Amino acid sequence: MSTDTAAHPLLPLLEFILQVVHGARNITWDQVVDVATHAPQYYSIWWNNLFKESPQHVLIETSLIIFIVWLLFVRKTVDPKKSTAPEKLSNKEIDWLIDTWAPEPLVPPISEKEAAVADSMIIIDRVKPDGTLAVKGVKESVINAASFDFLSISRDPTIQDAVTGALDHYGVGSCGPRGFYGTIDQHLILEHDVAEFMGTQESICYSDGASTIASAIPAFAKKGDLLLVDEACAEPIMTGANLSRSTVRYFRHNDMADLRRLLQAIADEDVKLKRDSLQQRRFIIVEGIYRNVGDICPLDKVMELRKEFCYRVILDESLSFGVLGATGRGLTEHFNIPPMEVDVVTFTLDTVLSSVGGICVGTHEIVDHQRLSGAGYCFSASSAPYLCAAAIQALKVMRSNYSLLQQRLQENVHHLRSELATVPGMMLVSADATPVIHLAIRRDATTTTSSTATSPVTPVTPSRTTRRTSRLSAPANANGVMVTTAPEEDWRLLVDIASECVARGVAVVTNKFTLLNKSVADLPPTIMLTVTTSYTEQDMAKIVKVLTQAAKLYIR
Amino acid sequence: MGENKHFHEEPEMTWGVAFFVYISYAAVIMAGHIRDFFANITGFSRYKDKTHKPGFASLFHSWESFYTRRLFHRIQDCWGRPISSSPGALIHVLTRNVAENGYTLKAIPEATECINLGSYNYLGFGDDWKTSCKAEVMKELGNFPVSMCSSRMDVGNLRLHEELEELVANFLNKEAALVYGMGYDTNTATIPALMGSESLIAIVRGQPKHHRPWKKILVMVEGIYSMEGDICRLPEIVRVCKKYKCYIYVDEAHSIGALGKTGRGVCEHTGVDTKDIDILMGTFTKSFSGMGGYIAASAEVIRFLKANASGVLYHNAMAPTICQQVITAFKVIMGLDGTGVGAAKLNALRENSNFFRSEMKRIGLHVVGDDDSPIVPVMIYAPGKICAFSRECLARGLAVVVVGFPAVSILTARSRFCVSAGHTREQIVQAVKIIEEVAERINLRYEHIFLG
Repeated sequence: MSTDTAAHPLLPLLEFILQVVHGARNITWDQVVDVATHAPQYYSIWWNNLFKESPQHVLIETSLIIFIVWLLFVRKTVDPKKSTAPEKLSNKEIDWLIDTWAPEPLVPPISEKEAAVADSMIIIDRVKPDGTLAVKGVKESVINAASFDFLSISRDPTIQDAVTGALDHYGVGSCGPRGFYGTIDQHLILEHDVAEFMGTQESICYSDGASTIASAIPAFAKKGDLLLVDEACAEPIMTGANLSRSTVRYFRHNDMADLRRLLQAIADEDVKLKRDSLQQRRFIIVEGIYRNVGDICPLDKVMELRKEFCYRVILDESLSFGVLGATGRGLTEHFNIPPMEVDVVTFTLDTVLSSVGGICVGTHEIVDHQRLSGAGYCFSASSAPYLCAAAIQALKVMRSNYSLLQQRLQENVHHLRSELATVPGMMLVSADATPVIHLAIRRDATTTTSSTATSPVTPVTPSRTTRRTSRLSAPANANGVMVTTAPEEDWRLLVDIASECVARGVAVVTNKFTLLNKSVADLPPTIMLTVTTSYTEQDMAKIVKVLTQAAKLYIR
Repeated sequence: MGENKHFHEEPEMTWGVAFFVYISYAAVIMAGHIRDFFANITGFSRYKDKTHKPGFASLFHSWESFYTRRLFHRIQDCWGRPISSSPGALIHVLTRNVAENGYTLKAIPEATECINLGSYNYLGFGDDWKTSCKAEVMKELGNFPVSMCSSRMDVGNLRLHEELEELVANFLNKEAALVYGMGYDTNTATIPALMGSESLIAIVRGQPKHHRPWKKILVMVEGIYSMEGDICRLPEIVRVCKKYKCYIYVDEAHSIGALGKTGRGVCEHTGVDTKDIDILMGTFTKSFSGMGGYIAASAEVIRFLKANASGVLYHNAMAPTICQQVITAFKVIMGLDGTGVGAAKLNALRENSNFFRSEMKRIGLHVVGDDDSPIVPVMIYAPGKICAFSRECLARGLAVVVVGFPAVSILTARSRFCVSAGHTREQIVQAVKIIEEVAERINLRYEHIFLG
């Protein structure tokens, strides 16, 4: 407002407004009429003043008003959605589209490999008291050489008693998920006993082994997070990584230099892209003993990298629990790492504890979080109580006999491995002495399988980019057998060898994961057999003899 | 056609009730934020982030776990209640106290006997297991270890699995069947094996980016929807799928052994020929007192799945005793055990369900779901009433299940009752009496009230 002393032209209007505001009853009709008739004049005076004082102000506001009017009334007729929408189809056109569309069959025709796998399923009639199998179509007893019951705890008589007692009291099924009255005291006892044994604050029990790690990973890693996974990991880990929707990068199997290179590359990228690493949860995922290779993860080196680059570690000890460590606590004990320093540790109950289900151990926070976020825990019926009772008893048996059992297992492992090295045409894939043994078709006569080597020796070239191409005339191996078929046909040889072994009284299996090319790693298809404490000298001699016979029959 | 007699109008929430529900949630959320605020400025909190390690990204973002900390933990005693008995019509619910850390619960060896309306014990095998199943199950106990510690494709496949598959295929009149060790795994292992990246699960206008037609379309429905108690309108869906050449997958987790005159599930109940359904899936947890699941389809599909489903190739095979339990349960249901126990159970389930449902309606509660469904959900709506209902029922000796967000939408919290063939008429009448008392106390008769 200007400060000149001459009466401002708007003064009457202001006076009027003040009078109205004070509720003055002496407003006359004449005053109202006077204001109304002079309103346009007052407005033009005001506008002119405004324009004189600050024309840019008027310009901006006028443009804004025009823009708003355009938005409201003009733009409406140009709807961006409508312009790219598909044209409406007439009913006749829709019918024609439906008639002419033919869906793919629900399942594609089964491939030769898949058919071979489906047909290779054996049917076990019963398990005899001495642990051998009565297999349909095979007259004699078959040695079970592929079970993960490494310590043969399933044959302990106290297990049967615990099971009978539990069945009598609880029946079979739990009839509900853990949230809805499916939590039975047996679950709580099992979780308590395992946590106490492992030295962690708490543990959580899942009703299925594979679902444990496949639920734990997505419980902590979400979209936008980062997972660095060993390329030779087993199927449940890959499933978990996929379900988490995180970015997944694989590093070369057990290759700590490659992992360091990858970690460094990501750290460099962080700096270059000015990315805040504290905003993204990052994990390294490894297995204690790799199911697809049979070797041990160098956890001590992984933990060093964890400290240096600040990545959390998820460790699946399904095959190393009850196998490694002075008291069977697994890989962490083997490397003297305090139990809760590894962020998430899982293992299954269907290996050494010869029951069904899985466990995740850790701090209160890690475990409690999964009770609401672990998909396999929340949305699945809980474990049958008798299975928990069996696992509880199995843990007791393991703890009381562990040193004896571990000694016997190690003896059997060393003995069998040294004998298996003599099987013609086949070679041990891993250098580590674990009860999971993979045999591949021998294709490189120069590869050695020294049991003192700490890194695994695989029969394919280390570099990922150059693949060794097959040559029909492979060099003769140490036992004088020449492999004449192409590597692409190895799977067929292995399927035949495995079924021949079963027919001759030893149940070994092919590793379906690598046979069906599901692994990210360049792993060869293999035959897998396991070592248990129940093998006698005769059993192991028979295993080697049968494998030799079958290998000689098919590998020419 | 007889199918429409089962379907009905859903009760509607009045706007008065909706208003109070919104206010309740707003109050709880605001209280939660205030508590978080004070926790931040004073540093006193039972939820101090103990997972925090300097240099590492925070494992739980505080906004992600707000719901858990400030809503769920306040009423977490309504869920996860441990029991020390078999999951029959009467259960012993253990008491729990708050643990040292201040936010988890710990059970103590003190139990209350309650009528059980929460377990999936539809055919009552949890009650009479000793007379109906025990003998056969124990017979096989000596023939196998507790677990084969191997997958079915390795050395885990038993004659029991084969026998069970034949029974399932027979029962459902399909060519073949495949069983898995875990029900949840049955779906997660099968669906990815069938559907690749250019397949569609449920229908629309071609693939969004380039409008090329989908390679195949699979429509997935459930027999009974476990949160709504609704039965699937299968004949209409089959008609639509036939017209648009889609494959149809029916998940009968809750309806197998519970619906239909002979317990053959939603197909029998709605009069659909199982030949028209491409894939039938179900679980053994509910009506059979077992564990695990099955897929029933054509021989070609089953053979393909045998070579491609991770549940068969890599995961632990179904435990022998559980296999035998399910086989025995099937035989009872089908009458192959020579008794009328199976037929009696199916009848009892249907009668109990319908009686219970009509009683709930009589009291004036908002009941959803269809007749003949053993799942009877009753609406609660307000968050404060969720825990009130659960706790008051427990105090009176009735074990119920309440469901809130995120299992159901935020406005539709409910109590979900699971009726069983094992319930006696007296037990149901007693349960109804307790519910009526509690409903009166916490104002649940939504049929008669306008404001929440």
